[in-house]
Amino acid sequence: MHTAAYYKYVSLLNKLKDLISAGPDDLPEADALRDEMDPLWFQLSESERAEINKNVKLPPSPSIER
Amino acid sequence: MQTVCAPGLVDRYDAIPPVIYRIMIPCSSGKITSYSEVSTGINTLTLSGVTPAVPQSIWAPNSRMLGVRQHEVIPPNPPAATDIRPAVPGQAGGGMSVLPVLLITLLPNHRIPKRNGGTGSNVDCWFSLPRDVIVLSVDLRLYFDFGDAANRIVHGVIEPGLQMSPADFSRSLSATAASWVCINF
Repeated sequence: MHTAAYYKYVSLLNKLKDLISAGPDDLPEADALRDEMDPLWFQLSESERAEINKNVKLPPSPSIER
Repeated sequence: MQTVCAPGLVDRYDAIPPVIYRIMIPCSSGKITSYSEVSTGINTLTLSGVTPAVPQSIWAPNSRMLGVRQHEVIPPNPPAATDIRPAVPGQAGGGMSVLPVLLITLLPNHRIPKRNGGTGSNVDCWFSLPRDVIVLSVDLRLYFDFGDAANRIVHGVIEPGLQMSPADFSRSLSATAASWVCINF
């Protein structure tokens, strides 16, 4: 069961993917969508964020997390 | 100035000395550039001489620069000649967003560059900043305002450490540009 924020975030994410797949990824329209997505991100559960970021790669971790 | 956590939140970091992270448009030799331009042929872990782009005016045009937009400060959208101020304990911070650690569950997908599997811009670079740069500054503070289910910090802001004009805050943020480290990733 997902949160309402998840469905809204994924809907905007799909819009963003469509927009940046067709051309430059730093258009003002893309940034406007990203701004709209910012407040939704931390409303998602940890498992929802992990699911959305399943294909993401992060820079090497500098050291052990405290 | 000091580092502050909202009441009940527990600090954490993933580097010693502790750093904060933000993804921003890169700048090299005073000119806005892109990750591909500054990283081509370079295999080092960090990219020397690459700093975050600084806005041309007091307010940043987007959240991919070393700056803030009008609605991100306290009070939001301040009228002319109105000072901005730090958040009070428990309030969402008013300043430039940063992350305390690099975790897959923290970084917004829409800010992570496409080359790294996100939907952010490939122009942008990953930057880190030693927390000490803020702690040792005269008028900036680091405020961690949100936590996860275990009350560990997940989000912070660099905000004015005291009441000041937006122009002074912009200048103080810009003054940290050379201290940000560009990660080659």
